[in-house]
Amino acid sequence: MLDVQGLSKSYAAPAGPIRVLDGVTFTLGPGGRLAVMGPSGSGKSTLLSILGTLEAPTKGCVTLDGADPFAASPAKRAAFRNRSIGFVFQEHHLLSGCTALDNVLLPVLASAAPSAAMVERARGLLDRVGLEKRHQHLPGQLSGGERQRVAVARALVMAPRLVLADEPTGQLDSHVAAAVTDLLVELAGEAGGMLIVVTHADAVAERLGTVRRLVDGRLLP
Amino acid sequence: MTIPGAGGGRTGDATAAGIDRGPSGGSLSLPALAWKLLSAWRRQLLALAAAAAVVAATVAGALGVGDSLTGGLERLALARLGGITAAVVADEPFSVTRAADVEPPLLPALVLAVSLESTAERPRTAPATLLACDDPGRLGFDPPAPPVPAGGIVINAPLALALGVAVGDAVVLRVAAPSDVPADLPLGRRDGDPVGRRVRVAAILPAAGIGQFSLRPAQVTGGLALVPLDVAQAMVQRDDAANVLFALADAAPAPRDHDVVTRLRERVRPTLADFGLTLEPVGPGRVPRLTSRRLVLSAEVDRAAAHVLGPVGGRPSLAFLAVGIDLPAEAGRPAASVPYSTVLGIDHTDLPVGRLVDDAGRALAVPGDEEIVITRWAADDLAAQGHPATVGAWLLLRSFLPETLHGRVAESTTRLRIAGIAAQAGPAVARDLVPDVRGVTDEASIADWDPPFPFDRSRVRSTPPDDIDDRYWKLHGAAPKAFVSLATARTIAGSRFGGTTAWHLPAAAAADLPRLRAQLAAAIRPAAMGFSVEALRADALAAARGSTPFGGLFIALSGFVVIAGLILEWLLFSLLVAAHRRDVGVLSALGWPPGRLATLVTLVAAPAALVGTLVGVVAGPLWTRLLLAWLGGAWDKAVAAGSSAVFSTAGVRPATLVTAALVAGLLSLAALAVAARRTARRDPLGLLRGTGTAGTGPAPAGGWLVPVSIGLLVAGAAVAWLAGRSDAAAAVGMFFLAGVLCLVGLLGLVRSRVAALAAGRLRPLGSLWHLAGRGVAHGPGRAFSVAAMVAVAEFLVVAVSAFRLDDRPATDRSGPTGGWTTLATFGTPTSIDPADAAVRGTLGLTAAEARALEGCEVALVRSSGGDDASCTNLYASVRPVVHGVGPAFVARGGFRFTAASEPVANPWRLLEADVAETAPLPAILDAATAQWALKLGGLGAEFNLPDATGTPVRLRIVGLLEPGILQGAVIVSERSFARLFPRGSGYSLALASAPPGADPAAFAAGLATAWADAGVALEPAADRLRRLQAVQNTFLAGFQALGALGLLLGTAGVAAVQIQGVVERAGTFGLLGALGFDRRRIALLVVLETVLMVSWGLIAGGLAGALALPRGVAGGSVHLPLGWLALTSLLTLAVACLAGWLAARRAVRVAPRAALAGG
Ligand SMILES: Nc1ncnc2c1ncn2[C@@H]1O[C@H](COP(=O)(O)OP(=O)(O)O)[C@@H](O)[C@H]1O
Ligand SMILES: [Mg+2]
Repeated sequence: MLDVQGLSKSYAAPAGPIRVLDGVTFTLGPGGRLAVMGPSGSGKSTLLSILGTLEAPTKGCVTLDGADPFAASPAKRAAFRNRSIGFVFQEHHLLSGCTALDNVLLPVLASAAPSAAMVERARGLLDRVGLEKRHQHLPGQLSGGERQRVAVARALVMAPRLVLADEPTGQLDSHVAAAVTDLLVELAGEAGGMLIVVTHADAVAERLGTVRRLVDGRLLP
Repeated sequence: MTIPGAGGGRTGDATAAGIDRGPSGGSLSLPALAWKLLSAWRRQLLALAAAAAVVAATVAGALGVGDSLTGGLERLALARLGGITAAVVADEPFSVTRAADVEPPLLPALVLAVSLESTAERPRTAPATLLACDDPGRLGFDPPAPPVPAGGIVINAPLALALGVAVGDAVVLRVAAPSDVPADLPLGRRDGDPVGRRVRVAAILPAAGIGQFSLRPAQVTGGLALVPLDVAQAMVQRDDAANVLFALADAAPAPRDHDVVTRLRERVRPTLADFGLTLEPVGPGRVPRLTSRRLVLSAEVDRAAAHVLGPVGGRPSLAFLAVGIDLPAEAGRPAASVPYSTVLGIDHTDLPVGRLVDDAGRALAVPGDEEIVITRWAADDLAAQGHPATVGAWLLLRSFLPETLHGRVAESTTRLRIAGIAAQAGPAVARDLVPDVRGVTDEASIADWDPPFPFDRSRVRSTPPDDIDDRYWKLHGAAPKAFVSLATARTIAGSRFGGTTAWHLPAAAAADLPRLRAQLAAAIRPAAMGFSVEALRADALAAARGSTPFGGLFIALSGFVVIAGLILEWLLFSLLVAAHRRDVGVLSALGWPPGRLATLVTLVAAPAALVGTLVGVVAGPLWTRLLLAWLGGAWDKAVAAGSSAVFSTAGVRPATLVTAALVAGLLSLAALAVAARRTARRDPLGLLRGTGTAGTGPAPAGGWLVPVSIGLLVAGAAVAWLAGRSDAAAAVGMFFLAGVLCLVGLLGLVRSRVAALAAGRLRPLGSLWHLAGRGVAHGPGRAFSVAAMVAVAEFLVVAVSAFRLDDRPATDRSGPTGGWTTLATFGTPTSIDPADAAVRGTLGLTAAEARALEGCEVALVRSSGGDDASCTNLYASVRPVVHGVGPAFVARGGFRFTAASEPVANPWRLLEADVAETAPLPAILDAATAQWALKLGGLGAEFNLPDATGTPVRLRIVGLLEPGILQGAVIVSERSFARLFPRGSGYSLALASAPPGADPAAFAAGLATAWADAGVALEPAADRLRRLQAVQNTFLAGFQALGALGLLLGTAGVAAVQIQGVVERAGTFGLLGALGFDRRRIALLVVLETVLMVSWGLIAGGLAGALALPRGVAGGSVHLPLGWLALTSLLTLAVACLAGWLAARRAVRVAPRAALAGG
């Protein structure tokens, strides 16, 4: 379970610090799903970065199943991120020189060369996101929606406890967006993982069930 | 359908659904991923490879220069020796009876310093080495030496050139007739009358094969002449003589040089004759006597004789010449004197020739310390002059000082009491107690004496009726007229050459002579008698491998270029990461631990670095060749013609290339690994978003930066100021320290300026410059790196240039010439002092020459044979030259000291400080020789020098000279010199200064005439100084080339950064274009950015170099080559601007599409 308590974040700026997050508090149970919506610049991406341990909060704390990643060393935090968190970025962020399958296997390679079982799992995930015939395609040979599906498969390959998606469908048409979201919900839920999606699209938010709004760094009830 | 869990097994479904399953998915590993990234990142990796290539080429080139230099020196040194591996070398000719007994046979030769004179209308003279041996073909030169026809001479090309002669021309060969008696003894010949012989040039040897023969390694081929051995033997008037026995490598299998030397030491056992000793029965009594051709038996012979002859009743004696046995006038008695008599020092009155008795037949005792026994004849002579000598009376013994000073014989007087009067019998009439002296004891009449000492013929009574001296001479010859104790004789006439003139054996020992001769010969150590076994080939190899400081310095300074190259690699790597920062950021975000990420990135960059290294290592030898060709040309022109042979590339050894590849490869990899680690630790969000530039961005400047930078600058300036007041060696180190401090300080200021620019983003735009500033601020870390790189390179250029010495020679006494105008070196040591008016009269000078020499100053300097350790000799000196300077030189002083062990006005006096027998001898060297060439250390350092017998003698540095014409030698006092080299006589070097207003040509001609017989070679002090400075300047120019290479790297870095920066900001430029900026204006913007970055670097580097610039380092006045600096700076700027402009043009063309695509 994810426990977020009084999370605040400010950035230093020449004209004094900018407060981006202000006392964000919420919890998410096992298998829990959450859609975060809010105007541009309200701090959604910042919140996701902190939850994904890419950035440290200025104040407050985050625990995932009781573990506080910010108390660990950078290397331990990286390992934590690798095992427990799956990311789907707004842009797909695939390595252009690597095939779809390779890209899915990248998180596995963070600790060791992928075992045959992991390769099978990656292939299975690619099949599940509808890319049965695209395993050996390079990102340049895929459409936007297909790339984002690869990103979804990559986020799930380590069977993370928490999947974070920052406007994963922002650049996709609504039809494709719905399909990708469904995939996310379905696959993240399978292993009992939690899912948080930041989105502008109501259609996307609806598919997650719970929707919270972030305005001026505060999470509205 | 289910998905296998993260660790779970595979399902049948997944396999069944498997379409398009290539093998690659299963083989994804770190190297495989790296390989995939490699092809995606290849453009940037290519640049990285190029930088690695430059680093490798620099390392390989620098090592190659050292290697080739060593190789060239080695090849030349070996070529000079042909098949000679070792030699027995004697300091004077010896008989060669035993040479053939040694296996393998040795080749006897005479190797002499001679002079040759052409017979043209205006004859030219040139000094040369004469190599006289039979069958020179055996020496194993390639091509083989030609036979020398009888009556002919073969000379080498340099000598032919110096003499201006061709094959068939006649030349006069002059060999100094060796004096048997050491020239520094009153009885030694000092005029060195040479023996001349007219010979025809039969062939001229090219400067190859035997044409470059030399016993000591030298980079310049000197004059060489070859004649048959018997011709040279006839000229030195010794028909069985040689002074060198060559051991040749013709025996198969070739024994190791070390073994050859050991075997030579064991097998070459000189006989008494080889040592110039005679043990023969002499006189009517056939009493065996040991004497030396040198007149005096050395301490070594004495020691051996005491050991071998002592037990069989042998007795030493020292005969010396009394100029007068005088009774001064007193109490009505007139002064009386017995002229030119022999006095004998004995330690026993019962001599083999009989007992010393008085008229009554009573045995006389050995005279005491202040006593003398005169013969009846002498007593009667004195009485006949009206002044009877009685027992107990005091007389004055006038004699010559045992050693001449600057060729002048001086007298001394000893007061002695008459202890007895010996009867005219036994020892008193035994002429064989006194050794034979050519020109004295062999003359029929005393009036015919032709002695080398001042001889007042008028004092000798040789014309009847007053012919008492001549009658005595005819009757008794040189038989002693007085006896003193051996100890007294030695205080009067003992010298460094010895204190014994003969050993006398009982007549009974005559039967045993062969055994005694053999025993005695075996007991004498050859090394103490001027015989040395020299491992010529091993020495040559050691000298070639030795210290040539150039190779090392070049490698050290190449290190700066390597640093610039590594910065470039770092920069390019950072650009690589910047260009692909998203890839790295994604992996980081996916939870790749920093270590693994760093490994991956290193794996990607490593092949590029390695390929670059390989290419560079292959290109390195070209860089070596280029540099050596240029250096060789410069040396030939400025230092000594013919030097370039050494610089010809001997080919770089494969081992060197492997070393270079390893060093360069590891350095590049290390640089990459460090950069990769830094990258991997970067915040993944920053990488993903592209804020800042990966890798190169240092932390934002704190408030401390400016004060600390200024502090460093001040400290640097202070160290530079101190450096100007320290000795040269320390100053060089301090200069670099000051430079580094200034450089870091100035770069700190640049850093704060860049930070200010970055912060200035908030201010509204003012001008195009402003916009350029923002461009720089786009990548502040990168801009700083460029500035730093250019600064390091520019600093190197300035720093090295600052060491260029002024060519103008200082002529004053405290300058590098010591006020001397001419250096004279002699083939044969001489004692002729043309500053002495009396001597000048005997030299056959023309009137003009005599006038030019009037009032000149001359310092005769003793000098040992050995290796010049000055910077003009590229070989390491295995045995440095030692100069012995006399009291007059010391009193005159001169030259400038950089350090002295005591604060005295004239540090030369420190040489003459009284030192205990066991204490180190004081020595003075020039600082460069002490530090670089001989690696002895600084003031107070102690070191060993082998004396004439090869025994190490300890010396201590009491003063360090500024580099000058005495560079390259260890200077000691004449007294210390005599302790080191007791067997030598005469002076091998002279310093002369022309009187004010003298015609230089006439002065030089006068010196040449005065010293012609000594085989003089004259060199104006200014020329010598110029040669020394030329070496330094040539090398420095080589170093400057390195500075230029550094700048080139800096420029390449700037260009790379600019191209990358422009490509990265294509969107920005597209936008500017859309806003109505025309292309030229955008290009101008990029150029302005470049100017900003490069100028900061140039200013910081140049300023740091100039701030740290030491005034007075290395003696000369230092001046900046402003033209060179301006040129390099402008070139850097121009290339960088061109690169930026081209990149900008491209960017503007691509920009609109890129901008539309949302890049
Ligand atoms: N590294 C940063 N430095 C300074 N300000 C930042 C940084 N990252 C985000 N911000 C600011 O934080 C605010 C919230 O950003 P973000 O979380 O990206 O908003 P959202 O994703 O909701 O659009 C924005 O106003 C942005 O300018
Ligand atoms: Mg956002």
